Amino acid sequence: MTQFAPHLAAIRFGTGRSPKADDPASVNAMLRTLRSTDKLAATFPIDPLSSIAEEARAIRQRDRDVAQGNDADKAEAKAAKDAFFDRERANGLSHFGATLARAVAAPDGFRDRLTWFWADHFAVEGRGLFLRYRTDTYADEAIRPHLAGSFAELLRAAALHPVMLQFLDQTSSIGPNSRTAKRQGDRGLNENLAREILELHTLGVQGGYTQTDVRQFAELLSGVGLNGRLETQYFEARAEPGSETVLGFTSSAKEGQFEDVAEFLDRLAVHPDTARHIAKKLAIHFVSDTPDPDLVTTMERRWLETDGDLAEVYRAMLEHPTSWSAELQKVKRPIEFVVSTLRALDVPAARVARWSEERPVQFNRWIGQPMQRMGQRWTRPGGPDGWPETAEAWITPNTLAERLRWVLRIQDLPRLEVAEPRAVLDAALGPLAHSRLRLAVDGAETREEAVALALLSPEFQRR
Amino acid sequence: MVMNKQPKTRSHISRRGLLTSGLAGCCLAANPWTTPITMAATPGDRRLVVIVLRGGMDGLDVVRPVGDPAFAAVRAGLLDGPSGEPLDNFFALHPALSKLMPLWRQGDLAFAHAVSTPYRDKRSHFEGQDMLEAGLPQVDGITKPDSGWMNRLLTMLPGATARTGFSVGREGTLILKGDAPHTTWYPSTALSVSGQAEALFELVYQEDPLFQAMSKQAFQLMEATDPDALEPGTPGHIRVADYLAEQLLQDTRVATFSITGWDSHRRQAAALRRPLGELADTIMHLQGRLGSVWDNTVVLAMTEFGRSVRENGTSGTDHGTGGAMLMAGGAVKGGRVYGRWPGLDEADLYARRDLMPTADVRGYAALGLGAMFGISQSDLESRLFPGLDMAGTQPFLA
Repeated sequence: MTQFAPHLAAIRFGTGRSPKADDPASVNAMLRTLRSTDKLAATFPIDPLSSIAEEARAIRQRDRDVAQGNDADKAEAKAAKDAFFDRERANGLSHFGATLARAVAAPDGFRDRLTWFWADHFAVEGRGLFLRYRTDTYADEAIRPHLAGSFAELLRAAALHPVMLQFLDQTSSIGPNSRTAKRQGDRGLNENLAREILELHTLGVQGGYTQTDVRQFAELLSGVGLNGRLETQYFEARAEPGSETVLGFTSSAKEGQFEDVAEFLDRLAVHPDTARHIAKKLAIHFVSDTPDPDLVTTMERRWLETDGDLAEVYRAMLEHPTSWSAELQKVKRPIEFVVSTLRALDVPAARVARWSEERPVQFNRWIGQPMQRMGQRWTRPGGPDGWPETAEAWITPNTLAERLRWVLRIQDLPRLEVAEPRAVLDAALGPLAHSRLRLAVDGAETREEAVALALLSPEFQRR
Repeated sequence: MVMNKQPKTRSHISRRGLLTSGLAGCCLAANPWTTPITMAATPGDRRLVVIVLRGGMDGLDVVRPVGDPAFAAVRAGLLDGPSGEPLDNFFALHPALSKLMPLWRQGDLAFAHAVSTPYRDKRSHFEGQDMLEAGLPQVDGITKPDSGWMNRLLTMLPGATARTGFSVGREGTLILKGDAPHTTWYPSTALSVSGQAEALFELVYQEDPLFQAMSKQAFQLMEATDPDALEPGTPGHIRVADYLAEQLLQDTRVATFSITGWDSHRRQAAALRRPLGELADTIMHLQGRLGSVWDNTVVLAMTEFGRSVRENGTSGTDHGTGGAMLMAGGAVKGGRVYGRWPGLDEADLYARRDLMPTADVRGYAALGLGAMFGISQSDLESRLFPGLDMAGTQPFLA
């Protein structure tokens, strides 16, 4: 029976092998690391949304003030907004740098991989002047601190985060019979968030819910919005009055319906359809595009037994023999490929972070833009359903050409020592570097091409 | 052919030109187009350009010993094409280098044959290149040597600055690696991989249908769709030559870059066309751009090893030992092929398969450095090229 393999733990469930880090020793060790204090989040910080709350409030206030003012006032307000936006763009790049640096420095990278998985499961794109460059902030606030707790906590944090509310139009949804609707007349319900929570975040499109459930849930959510300081807030005046019934759950219809929203989300989190949907999605993401049915049912059962204790669900996955199949069935997404390459080449994480702050334009040209050409424009998955999973979606002639170009170029990184191809091969693949690959790497006429062969090999491209 | 043309002024800055390394985190400051050139005291007027021919150039095909009675038999397939330009009564030049014949005739081009580094037997590209660049009698293939001989040369040049030594691209780093400051320039050329690398990728992808299916087109797309390649019209090697010539006209005295693509295991006749064309174009461009400075210039083109004397079964040749080097420049006493010819009979060969080296390729470099930069013989033999054996080396400077 197949079982735990340290190198596969690093490659399949982590951010790749690194000459600086030992492969995980066991499933318990992986879970222990995951539950330990997130020191790297402190080393490579990502600014919280609260850091721009006051500025956002002031900009909005000024907008209102100058609405009646003269052209000079308006121009000045516009200039201030432009300056804010430019700063935010720089922040966005430095947050991307921190995201990479954490994953490069990580002991095994399981935490980072889970962060990316869940941030993709609860996919958002930052929108508007204030949240445009806050997708990584969202992942850092709503996802990363909740990886090993209950799914209910994660669901609440992600589905009700300001970036999510804005992305899925919850900020403009109000109850049709709410006080605000009566006053303004032309506004109403927007079902977007309610539908995606049911269809994407919890039950799944195969789940047992109806259009009536979507509508009722949207009404239940109708008081949830965003205040001027970019905080999630419940606005009684926007809430649809009366009680709602969704999937057998009936709200209290009292003042303070926010508790009803939270309670309903908790119910969704332990719903059997949710367990089935997400167990399968985790297995597909980490193990195989066509996972073994027993793997999925084992995880699903663990979910139901533990009320969605995520660490336990991961344990069920990591202890299942098919998770350690020798066959590398998944292709690394560009972010995984980029990070595992930086690890294999022993690029210091601090340098990646510093680079994103001090030389953002070059950083973007060397990492951000190539990743976009590989098919993954970071923080821009394109829709609430996130990135594709299949190998064929990621490996096309164009994206493969870009992966190759990038591997050749990245070796020109300022102050990066010339990589020793055999050392890279051992560091990156260990026992996966079979003799044919070694032969090819030894046969290349330059070190750059030898390293490219190692890192473009199916063994390194897959996991 | 561009000859005797003034260096053009360049109004734009290539983005890769900005990414100069070797000088920590200081890209803009180190960019030659944005920094006023300091006219520091420079060590003399002589210029040395070293072209590293990566992949193992087949000296027997490039400088063909047509006068050796055994030659036609061991190279029957490879000689089945246009015949080369006669150099003298014994050697002929590969037709893809015929552009260089004017230099040969005016005495600015020479070759040394049957040369090699002290590297023997394992015939690994990386170890061989390490030997060539480190200038050492041995390397172990695991630990990278700390310095290259061109860097050690810089430490001996009085008044040398970071601009005295110049390398292009990542590949030239070992030969210029070391304590002496120098400058590296990364040109914004379209990326491609060599034919040999494509063949190796086929091997690596042979059991993965997805990668195998996508890679064919990927290689074609790689150059055509490279978004980072500026001025796609000008080939990379020409831009390197133009750029280096500009540096050499100013403060730079020693410069190095690589030409790859010499690992001709298969269909050698086709495989060598590109690298030989690049080598010829590069030298002719340097000559054209340097004007009168060409008279003080020596260009050495050296490879990590030669190739097997006999053709292999795929119309190519395999890794060997003895090979040829090229010397060009106004300071060269050209029109000659230097060296002692060992012969091609089986008993004459190294390990019964390779051309027997009769001189250390480092010896020619040492002769050049001694005469051009006044480096003493003891420095040459102890600091620059430890273990150097000058036997068989013939003076080649005018």
